Amino acid sequence: MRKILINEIFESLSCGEKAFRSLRNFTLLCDERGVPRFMAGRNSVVVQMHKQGVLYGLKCYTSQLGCGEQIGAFVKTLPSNLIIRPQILSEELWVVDRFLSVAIYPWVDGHSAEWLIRKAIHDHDTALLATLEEGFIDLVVNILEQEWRHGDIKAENIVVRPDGEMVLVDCDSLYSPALPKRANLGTPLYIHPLRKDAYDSHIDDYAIALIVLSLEALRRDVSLFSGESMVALPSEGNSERIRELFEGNNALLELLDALLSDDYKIPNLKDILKCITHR
Amino acid sequence: MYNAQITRRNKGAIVILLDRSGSMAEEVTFEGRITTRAEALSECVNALLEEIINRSHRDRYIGDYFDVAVIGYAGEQAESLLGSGFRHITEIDTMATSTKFIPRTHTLPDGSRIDTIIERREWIVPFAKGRTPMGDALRMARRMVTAWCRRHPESFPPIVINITDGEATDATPEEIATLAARLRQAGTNDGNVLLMNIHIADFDNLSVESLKFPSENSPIPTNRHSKLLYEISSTLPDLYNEVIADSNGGVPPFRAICYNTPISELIGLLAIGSLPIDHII
Repeated sequence: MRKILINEIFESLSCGEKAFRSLRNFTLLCDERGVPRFMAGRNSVVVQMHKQGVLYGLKCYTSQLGCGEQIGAFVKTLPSNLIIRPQILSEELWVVDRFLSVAIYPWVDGHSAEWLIRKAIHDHDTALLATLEEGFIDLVVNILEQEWRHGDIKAENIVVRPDGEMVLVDCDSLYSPALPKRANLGTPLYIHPLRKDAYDSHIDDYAIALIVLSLEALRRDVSLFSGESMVALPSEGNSERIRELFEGNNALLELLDALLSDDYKIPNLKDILKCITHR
Repeated sequence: MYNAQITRRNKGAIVILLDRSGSMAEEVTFEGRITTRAEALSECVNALLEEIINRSHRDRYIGDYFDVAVIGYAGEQAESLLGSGFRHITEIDTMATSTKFIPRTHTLPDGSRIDTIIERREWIVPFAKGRTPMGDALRMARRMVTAWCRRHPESFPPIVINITDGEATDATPEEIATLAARLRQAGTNDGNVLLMNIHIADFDNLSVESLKFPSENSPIPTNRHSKLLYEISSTLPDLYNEVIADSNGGVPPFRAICYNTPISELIGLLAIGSLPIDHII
């Protein structure tokens, strides 16, 4: 079967309820050209819809969602203050020649952390970067105390509400001992180069370290930014400069060493984060 | 090799070489309509441009993940159809020259049909005239990708997709082979340029064998033209294996050629050819 184009998904959505197996009574939000307002991900496109007066996100998967039903059942058990819990409808939307799975979730007002980081860089707003970092550490310390992990922590998957609270979106890569092992979880940029198909409670460690270190580095030297907000990525070539910036801060230096090591696990990550925020 | 992720810092590049020779004025049935090959091709290329833009859409902005060039070739020479050289995908988003309204019939699983009119932006307009200066297009592409690779040494190498319905008229087969080899020699630290050739079927010549991403260990085509296009096409890296095997069967590695292809399959093939757009970080 050939690959589905995003415009083909939009064309199906324009057919309304008839293109869906069960979803009814909704209205897509579109721009002045009649194109749905959307964001694209690696294997999905998210549009907005109104249903019974409530704004929802409708995530249309462009490829098969592994273990969709198990994830959908598991995610209902998770705390809603940490992660947005979608309702997953398997094989729901007809596009071209097949049914695609969709996920529906209450729309979270706010901006993605990625958008806010870029805004802060553009505005040289170190206070905003500090606020984002603090909020992020609060969020991930909470998650590190759970038995599940997100599996795809990245700035784009963090929504910052207007009140500053952060919440994770996207449940496709969840880890839990209760879920089957899946391959190819997460976003390559945020995965330790040697992690390969490891599936355990440390799969978020590298991403967390990367985001914290990048925010800390940008607060000190916004000129590190050259297109990619994750300036602490080894491939960005900033490691030595970042080490200089962190001189005297043992917690940050320890986290930087952990990021650059051959081990994707950072066993004392929670303790390091608490040191960074002096808690 | 061919492992580089597409990021804003290490963006990707796609070049379309588009045959706009006189034979493209021939009528075909495309999406249930009678139209010309040139119309159908321009719709497919425009759909690809729209897909690249869509895949780059993030929270309230379009990420600058790709540089794209479209080189049309007709008459005596090739020309760049998106202004000069590569354009950032963020620029292309604002460059559409017109809007086209296309009738579309959706057939749903219950058998019912919904007729709609879809609005599509147009960057490439149909054109069909003159001869087939494919050699000039390959030369232009090589100059462009060589300069691009110097500026982006850590990026995934450029993908060049040549869409044609005939043979070059400005170069012999041996010269085409040489030009293509020089093009494929360009590259980044992540690998050489990938050259893909899509030949649109001529329905007067249905006796010629069809090819669709043949396996490397398949017999080499015997038809002179398909053999040439086969030999100048790249071997596709592992990244492509699953999607081609899923859609087409066969055993990897696969060759980047589709020969005697019905025009109805073109958009699907372009989607495969431009696979790295699915791998934006």
